[in-house]
Amino acid sequence: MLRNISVEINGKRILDNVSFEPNRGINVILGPNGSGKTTLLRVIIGMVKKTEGKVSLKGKISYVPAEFFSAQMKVSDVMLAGSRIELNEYTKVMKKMEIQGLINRDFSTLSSGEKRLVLIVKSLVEGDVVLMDEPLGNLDLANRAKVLRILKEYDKTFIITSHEIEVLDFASKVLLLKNGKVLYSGNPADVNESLLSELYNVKLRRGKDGWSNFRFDF
Amino acid sequence: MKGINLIFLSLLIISFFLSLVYGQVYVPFDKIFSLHGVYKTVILDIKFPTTLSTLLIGICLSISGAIMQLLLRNPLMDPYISGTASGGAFGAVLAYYLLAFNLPFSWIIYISPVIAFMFSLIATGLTVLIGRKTGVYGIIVGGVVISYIFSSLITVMITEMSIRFPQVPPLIFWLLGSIQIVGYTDVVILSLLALGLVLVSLRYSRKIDLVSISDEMAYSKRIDPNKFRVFWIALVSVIVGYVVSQVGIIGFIGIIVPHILRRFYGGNTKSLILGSITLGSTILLFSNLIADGSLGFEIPITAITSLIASPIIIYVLVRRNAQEY
Repeated sequence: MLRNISVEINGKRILDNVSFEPNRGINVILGPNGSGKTTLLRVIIGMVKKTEGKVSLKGKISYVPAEFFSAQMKVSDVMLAGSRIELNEYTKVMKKMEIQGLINRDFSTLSSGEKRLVLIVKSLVEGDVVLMDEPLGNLDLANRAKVLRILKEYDKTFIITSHEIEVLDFASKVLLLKNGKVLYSGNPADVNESLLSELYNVKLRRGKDGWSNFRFDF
Repeated sequence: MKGINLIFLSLLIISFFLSLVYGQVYVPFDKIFSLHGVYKTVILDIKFPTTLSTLLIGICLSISGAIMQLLLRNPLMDPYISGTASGGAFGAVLAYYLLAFNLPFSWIIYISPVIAFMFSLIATGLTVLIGRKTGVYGIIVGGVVISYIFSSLITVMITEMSIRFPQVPPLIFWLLGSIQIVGYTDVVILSLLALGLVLVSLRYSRKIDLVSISDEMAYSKRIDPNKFRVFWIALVSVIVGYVVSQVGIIGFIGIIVPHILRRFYGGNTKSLILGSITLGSTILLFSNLIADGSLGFEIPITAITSLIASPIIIYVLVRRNAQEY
């Protein structure tokens, strides 16, 4: 539960009275660049100090950052970094993600998409509440579909930021952030064209059977 | 993997005995095992403590370099590049100014490591602050500048002092290092420092791995990466400060060793630390073998280590560049 979170940095209000109660399943935070999505995730882990508000989430938290250092170590070392869980727990999920072949590779030599899949697997093994900052960035279509399908299989709380609005079709709850304020919070089925058009300041049309085939309305 | 362990271990043993045999005084190999007369004094009072100290310093500097590279996320970091060593040497030289206050010369050996540590910490802190504003290559340039500032101050101070106090070690010792250890006080202190460093860094090895990848991931595991870095920078400064106050600035060991180890073991903290124990000591022993009179004349040790390091540094630069573009 996130209650009345505000963050002010150097006199600038980055988040303004944001409340959100995440459900089980995929909670998606949408918003334009600079709307405060990453800051909100960082408030949850204590990296950014909140000026006001309260965070209370039950369970172990894990995090997939949008940017990270391509450390020169084996993928198995990355999996075990900061962890006390056995390696075979990770290899099981790597199989599910179809990346078990990467286990002995040097993490720094992987493609950006592969690196992200590795960190997603790590977060799935380690957390009950899994925060992911743009987990679908750098992923090709097949991998995006695969990640979303696998997240659906888990009975965990995912809080993910995204610029891919097709995520709405998989979400259990949605938070729309604009300029650090909540534009909408609730059921993804209720997110309509006018709400998203207002969020991004660009006219959008929903596709026939979901947001995966939306189009711009010029 | 076992094969390479065996090779590293054999090289360590070979370099250890070569160091006892060669150097400023040649001691025939068979004499080492039946010590009599002058050989006994040379081996027990000078060669053995010097060789052991070299081995321990090699371990300490390699691990310090590896940890700095991981936590500052920069493969070219080491206590020399970061200014830690130059800051420490400045502190140690500054301690000799206490001679001016008529403090007994014997006090200096106790005070100089403390002042060296303080200035190691200050120099490293400055470099890290510069790095925060400038990024991966900026921190290197920043560290080199900080190094130069302290090296220049050492030059000024030693030039001024050398006339009045001939007992102060010369400029070339401070700037380029030289391992000349008599007796066992240093060996005991270095053993404790090396043992402490190995044990603490092994205990925290997976946390170091994590902080080397991402601050967010560290925070999610309730580790404050900034406090974590400050702790390690302080620990490295204690060790480098002490080493520099005893043997001057020895550069680049912290770059050479981790990069060779990554070729063979991957690059996690644990393997870098364990590998530093054999390879760090071996490389410094071989360097010191060349430096310490085996060629018929003495050479400052950083002259040797920088020759070994330069191809590695160029390789890292080219490789990183190829990855980024």
